[in-house]
Amino acid sequence: MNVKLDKRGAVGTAIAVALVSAYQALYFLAPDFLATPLWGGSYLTVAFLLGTLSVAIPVVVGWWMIQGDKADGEIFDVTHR
Amino acid sequence: MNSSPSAVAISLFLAVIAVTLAITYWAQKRSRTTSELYAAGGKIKAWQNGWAIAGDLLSASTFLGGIGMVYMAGYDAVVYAFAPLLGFVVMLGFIAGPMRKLGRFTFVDAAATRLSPTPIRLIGALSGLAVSLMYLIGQMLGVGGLIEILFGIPYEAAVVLVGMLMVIYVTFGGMLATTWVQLTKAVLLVFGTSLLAVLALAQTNFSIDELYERAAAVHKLGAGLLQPGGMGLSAIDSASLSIALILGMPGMPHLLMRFFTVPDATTARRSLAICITIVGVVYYIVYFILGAAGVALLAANPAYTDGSGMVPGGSNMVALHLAHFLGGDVLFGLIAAVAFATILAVVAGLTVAAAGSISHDLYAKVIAKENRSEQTEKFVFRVSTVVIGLLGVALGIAFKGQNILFVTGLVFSIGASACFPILIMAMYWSRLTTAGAVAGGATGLALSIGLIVLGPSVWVQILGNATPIMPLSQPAIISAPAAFIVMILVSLVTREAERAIAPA
Repeated sequence: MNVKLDKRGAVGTAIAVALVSAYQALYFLAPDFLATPLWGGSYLTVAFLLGTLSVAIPVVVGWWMIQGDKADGEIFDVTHR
Repeated sequence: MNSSPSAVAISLFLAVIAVTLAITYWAQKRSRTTSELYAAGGKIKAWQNGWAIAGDLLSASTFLGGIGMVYMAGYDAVVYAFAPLLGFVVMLGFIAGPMRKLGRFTFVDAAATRLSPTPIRLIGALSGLAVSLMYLIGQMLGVGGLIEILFGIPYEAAVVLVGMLMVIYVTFGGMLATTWVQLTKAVLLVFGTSLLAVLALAQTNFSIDELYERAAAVHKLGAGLLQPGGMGLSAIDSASLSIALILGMPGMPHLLMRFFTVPDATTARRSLAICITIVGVVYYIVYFILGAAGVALLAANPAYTDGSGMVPGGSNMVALHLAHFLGGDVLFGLIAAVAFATILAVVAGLTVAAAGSISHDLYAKVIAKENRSEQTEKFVFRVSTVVIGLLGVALGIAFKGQNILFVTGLVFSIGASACFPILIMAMYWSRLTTAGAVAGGATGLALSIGLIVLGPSVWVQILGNATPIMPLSQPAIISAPAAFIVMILVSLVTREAERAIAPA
């Protein structure tokens, strides 16, 4: 038995993990960039914007992943060896 | 602020108990079979399960601890927001659908489908039980202190009360009662945090920029509060914590068990998408608005802080003090009741998972096998629930006052290093053998526990040694890859006997 990989799920997961990991990498590679104000005189920083996106991306990707699901509930092929 | 419990707080506390017991009474008449006890008969709708999973996950440490963490360490706390959400994405992409299709009552069902069931169930149940029990002990330790502060009930009595309630919910109402307790709590939590956020933003004319400006003006970190680095995590510590949260989340038995409460795989996935949305909203409110609001409105307010800027009761009480600042005794009582409901829902979910591991994975599938009857399995489930309740209460009282930060790290580390590797490899890698799965799972389990004991949380802070043997406080960056590597290597040098697919 093996589960057939859900391509949309794999792609979505890869996108979400890559984007959020890139954001986390910036913490250590470019902290000054993250501390840049979003506009002149603003106390909101690039870190705030990217942090907002890092919470929003999993939500959006989650809904995108299930768009291809069939209504009958049988969405995964399970093959037996 | 006066720290004695108000009449409103006590009334709402009693209302939460009354509502949850009424739910249990209603569910008790609908929990006759093992399927109904473990999985609410698989009849839960997507939106209900989505709210219930959110209720299962969002613990007091998320709500109270998250706000407190931003209050103390600033912006770095957001790693606790996006990493669990990514864990849910992994769960949605790879686990939720196949889990519902392959399993029946517990996550071990899915892993045991094609491998030799007895050893897989033993290692899977052991790992799952370790996660559920550790998580439960952590919650019980938090419960006592919290209820003592919120409602003036002594620590020991509070732990006994919560233990009794969780046993009643699960023994009589099974998964159906647990589902509705979790759902009710999640709705209360979203309502409570949203209300706090609106009232907090009203203090700054709904300007988030002004909220952050005021927070930076009064915190000891100044503008650094809003910049990376407040928690002082190294890159490797941060990566290890993220790995634990991202891979540990899809290895949590009490969350995985919720996929069996819905009719099919599509509904399981849809419910998880709903859950991610709810959790994302709560995380955003907690980490991006209420944390900053706590700093901006309380940190320099002498009515709520001591000379060092700390609120009475410690950082976990920031949410409660913020509620009192924004809405007096009524809002304090409401948020205290929400925190109490939060604790009840999480311990109920953990108890179902732990009792299910014992009665289904160990008793029904390993010990009794063909000799089991539904009646006996239900009896074992209920006895297990009582035993777990007693254990939770006893350990909660025994460990009173201990530093338990390592428990959360351990839970997610075991989830990421033992439960998740077994599950995902059993589903997707046809070459996996029983020996490989057991060896990898055992490696992940042993390394998780061993490295945490040798790390700073236990070796230095609890055992009193000067320096840790293992420098990382979260070992998942070592233990999770090690589990996968051992699993692959052992599978490559062993062979799996062909056998018929066993029903879960």
